[in-house]
Amino acid sequence: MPERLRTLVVSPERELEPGMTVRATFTFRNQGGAPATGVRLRFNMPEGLIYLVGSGCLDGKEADDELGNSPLLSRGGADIGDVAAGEERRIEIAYSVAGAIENGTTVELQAALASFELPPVGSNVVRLVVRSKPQLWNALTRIAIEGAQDPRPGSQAQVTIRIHNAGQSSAHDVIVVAPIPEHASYLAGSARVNGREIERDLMAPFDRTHAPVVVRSLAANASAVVTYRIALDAPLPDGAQVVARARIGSQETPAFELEAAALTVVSSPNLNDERTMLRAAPSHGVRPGQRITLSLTAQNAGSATAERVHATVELPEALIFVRGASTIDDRPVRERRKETMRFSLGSVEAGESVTLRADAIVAAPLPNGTMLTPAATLEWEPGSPDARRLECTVTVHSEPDFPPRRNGIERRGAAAVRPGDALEATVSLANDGSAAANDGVLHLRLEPALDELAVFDGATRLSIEGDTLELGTLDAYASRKLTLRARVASPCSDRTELRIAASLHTRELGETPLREAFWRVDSHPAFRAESSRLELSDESVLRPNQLAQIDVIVTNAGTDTAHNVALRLYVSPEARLESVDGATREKSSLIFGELAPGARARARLGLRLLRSLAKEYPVTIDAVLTADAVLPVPLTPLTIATAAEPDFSVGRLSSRPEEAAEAGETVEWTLQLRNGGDGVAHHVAVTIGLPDSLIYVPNSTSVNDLPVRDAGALPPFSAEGGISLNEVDPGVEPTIRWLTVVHNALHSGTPIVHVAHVRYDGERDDEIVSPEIVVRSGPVFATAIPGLPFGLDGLLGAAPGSEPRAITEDRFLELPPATPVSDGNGAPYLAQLAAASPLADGTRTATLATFAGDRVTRTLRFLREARFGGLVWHLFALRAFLPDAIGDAHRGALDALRDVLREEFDRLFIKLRLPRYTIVPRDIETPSLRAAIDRLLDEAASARGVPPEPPITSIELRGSFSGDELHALRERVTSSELASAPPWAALARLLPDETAPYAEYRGRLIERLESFAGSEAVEFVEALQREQDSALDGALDAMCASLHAIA
Amino acid sequence: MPALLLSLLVVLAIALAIALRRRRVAVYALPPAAPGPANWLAPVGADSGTLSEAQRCDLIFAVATLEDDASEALLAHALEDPSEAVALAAAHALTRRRGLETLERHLGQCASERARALRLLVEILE
Repeated sequence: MPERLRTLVVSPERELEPGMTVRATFTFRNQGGAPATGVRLRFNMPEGLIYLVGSGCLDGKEADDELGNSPLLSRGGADIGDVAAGEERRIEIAYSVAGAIENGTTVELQAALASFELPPVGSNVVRLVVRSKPQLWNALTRIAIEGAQDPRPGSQAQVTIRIHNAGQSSAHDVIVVAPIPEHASYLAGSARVNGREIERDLMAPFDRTHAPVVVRSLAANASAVVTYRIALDAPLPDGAQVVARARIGSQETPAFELEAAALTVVSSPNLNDERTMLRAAPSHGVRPGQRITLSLTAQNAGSATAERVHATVELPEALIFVRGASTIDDRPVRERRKETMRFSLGSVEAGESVTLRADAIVAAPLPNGTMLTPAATLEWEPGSPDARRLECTVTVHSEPDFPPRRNGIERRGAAAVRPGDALEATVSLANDGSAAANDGVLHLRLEPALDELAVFDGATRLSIEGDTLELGTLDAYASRKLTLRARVASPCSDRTELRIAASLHTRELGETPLREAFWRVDSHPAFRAESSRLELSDESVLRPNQLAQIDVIVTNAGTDTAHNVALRLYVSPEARLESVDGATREKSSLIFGELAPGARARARLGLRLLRSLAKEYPVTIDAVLTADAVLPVPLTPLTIATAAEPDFSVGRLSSRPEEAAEAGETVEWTLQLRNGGDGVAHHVAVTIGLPDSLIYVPNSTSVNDLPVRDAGALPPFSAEGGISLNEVDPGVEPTIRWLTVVHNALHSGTPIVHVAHVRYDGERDDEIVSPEIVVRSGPVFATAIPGLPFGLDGLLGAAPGSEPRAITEDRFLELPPATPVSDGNGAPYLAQLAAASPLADGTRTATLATFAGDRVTRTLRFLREARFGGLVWHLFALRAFLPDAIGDAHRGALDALRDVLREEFDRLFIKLRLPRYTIVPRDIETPSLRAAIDRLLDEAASARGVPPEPPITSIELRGSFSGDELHALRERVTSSELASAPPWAALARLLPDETAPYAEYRGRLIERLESFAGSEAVEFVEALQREQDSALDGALDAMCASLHAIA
Repeated sequence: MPALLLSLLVVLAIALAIALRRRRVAVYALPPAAPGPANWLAPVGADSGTLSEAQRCDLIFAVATLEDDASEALLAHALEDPSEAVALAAAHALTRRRGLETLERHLGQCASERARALRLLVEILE
């Protein structure tokens, strides 16, 4: 409005400042004269000014209405009514400058006045300039840094810079210099200004822009917030300060620095997260004894270095620490003597880790499923109030184990067993596993051929049910040794294989085979002399021509079937096998065939005694039992006593005349003897006492009509020993006749009785009494006795014979056997009687050894080889020079002895070739040799005369011996052992002595052997092998040399 | 000098005597046999290895009394026994039981010093 009135006064006049009160006073006057009616006045209301309520006054009067509105500022202005002319009016009003108003703002004040009569007129315009400025540096302008509750290294934080314009005007080009704090880094794109990204406007990252203008204009009382995010560095020490600084400036405000904001970092090492752990490898199915590795990984998940980290490994008892095997980060740990399971791991920086490995062995035994919990305790600095304890679990898989090396059944003793033998095996059970085996049952599988099974645990016998044996629990590492005993059934076939298999059944392992024990049956048939024998069926003695029943009992005492069982019989030549029942006879063998084990075969033999034997020659039956695969078994020889004995009890002594004889009459006596027995009378002595009533007629005695020489003045039967008859076979009837003359001085009627005594075999004495004859006598004068060349007074009766008696020949003749007897089983008897010739010396008997062909050479060679040292050489000499004939003796005994000697001495010869062989008595003392020597000596002692000349040309070694001496020696031999000197001393007398060397040797040999008369058999046997007699040996050498020279 | 010659003569004489004696002894000494059968007693269930020489001799003497073929076969095997005495016992037994054919066959097959000596010893015992 045009300025027409200059009455507006404003205070202040020029400049305003925010908050100031601006007072305006307008005064006007009705210069006219007329009243101005309807006067209205109005003030403007400039921007930036604020009416002060109650300040509008009209002429000092408040003009505000009841509501506080000033009509002065209304559009229509305040109605001030009529203003009389000349009247002056004053209007006041006050304004307040707004608190925030831009610097330089112009405020114009003007009042306008109007009335009905006058057009509106304006007052002068008062122009006021506002003077204001921004105010950035104030309390609200600040910087802050905010992070997490515990700002830790690596965490994020936000830096907030609040810029508050506490001034009255805007701040332009507000600049913030906000460097990224140390120990932090800017998070790209995180810068915001009032929530709006600014990097786009900056065209560069916030952290790389120095002093960016963040706000172009910041109004008064306005604030701008600049934020950006940072990431704290990591690691950072605990308590580290992250300081955020900023400087603020604007065009109006010089830069100033805000008070720095700081963030204190909370930092610590952290070994507590899941990456720090203790592991065991393997951790499942670990077997006792197995090595496991415990790995302790310490991962510092914190933000600070863990210093002086220590780990202490704690192992349960079942884990055994392996020293020297520990590593830290695969580097071996120095071994320490103390605290071997405490390890210093050093320092572990944040984010780093360290791994400790320690080895341990799972101890044994342990039950299956045992959970082992090894542990490790970690300690570190700075301060972990409680060290961290880590644990892991190791699951043990444990089971019993019965390794074949220590478990099994093992045979004890030899593999070869015999039926009936006891077997023994050891069942070894050793649980080498680490857990006990429960419900153990031992199964045994036995061959049916095994009996009496028993199982012992030490001395305790265990109970067996069937083939199983309850063992219960077999603790780990426990062992048991069971002894199994059984017995091989008998019988049992040879080469039967016996096995005992064993197996162990346990709940954990099931069936565990324990191998098997093996035996092989060594079974053979066997025969023993105790169970296989020959026995006489009854106790009767064997008599000539009678059958003796002999039972043969053969028992297979072995354990296998005997095949081709046979019994070879060696029957004395005096007997003959006539019948066999119960077995098949093949020649002298009995065939029994097969014989089962334990079976018995019985056969009955009929044995007939062929020839007469005296009692001292019992019949012997030797038997050798044979079978396949069986060593020959000689049975105990059966000796059958023969009852063959002579009997001369029945005889007849008769006279002729028979009933009466005249005094001086010759009476012929006849003694008829008969060997009514069944045995040979080897020596019969017939003595007849000559009664005083009879006078013997010299040389009137004859035996079987052969005259017998008187013994001096006595008849032969009255001499000492009487008439000796030798070898009187059964049935032989010797008849002795002699003449006597009845004594003429006898009275008539005198009875005459002749008594004969027959003594035989040394003990029998039969008396034979003649019938009584009566003397008839009468007076007789001198006469002559026939046969006497001279007369004799007092002779009574006629001479008894007509022919003179004279001894014409000095002969002695053995009575021939009355009945033929056989020399063997059917072998013809070889008569010797006719060949005998008398020796000049009737008391000696000649011997003859003939050496035909190359016998001399072989004999000498034999003696050279038989010179083993000792006296045994001379026994071989006896064998070599044994005569082939002895007087008139039977050759049977000689041949038998030669055969036996050859047999036995050949064996001795062979044995002596063995190194260091020692002669034993049984080498010499055999029944057959005993029988042969006895028989030969008996026959030789009874032999007489000279052997016949050999039929062929040969070297003859002759000798002689005294039959009586040999007879006497024979008694000694009977009571002596063959392993003593007497038998050989007796045989030595049969050696030749015809020449000086022979006689020398024989004499020395007899003398040497006789020197053993008082010695024990053992001394003689010792001498046979050890003792040497150089003189005797030399004599034998000389004899051999002589023989060699002859040959 | 004469004394030295005399001593030499004495030594030579002694050596000659010893040599002759050894030679005589060696005439009929059976040389050791070649390795014989492992066990010639196996057919009768025995083991020759477990028996001494004397026991083997006794066994042969017992078998010698038999006249069956099996025992003769056993004796023929025994001829190969390493022991000279056992072999001699077998040869002697064969001779006594008229098993000369078997013996001769064996001796003929051997044709060794041992067989020759065996033959001589058997002849001596004839």
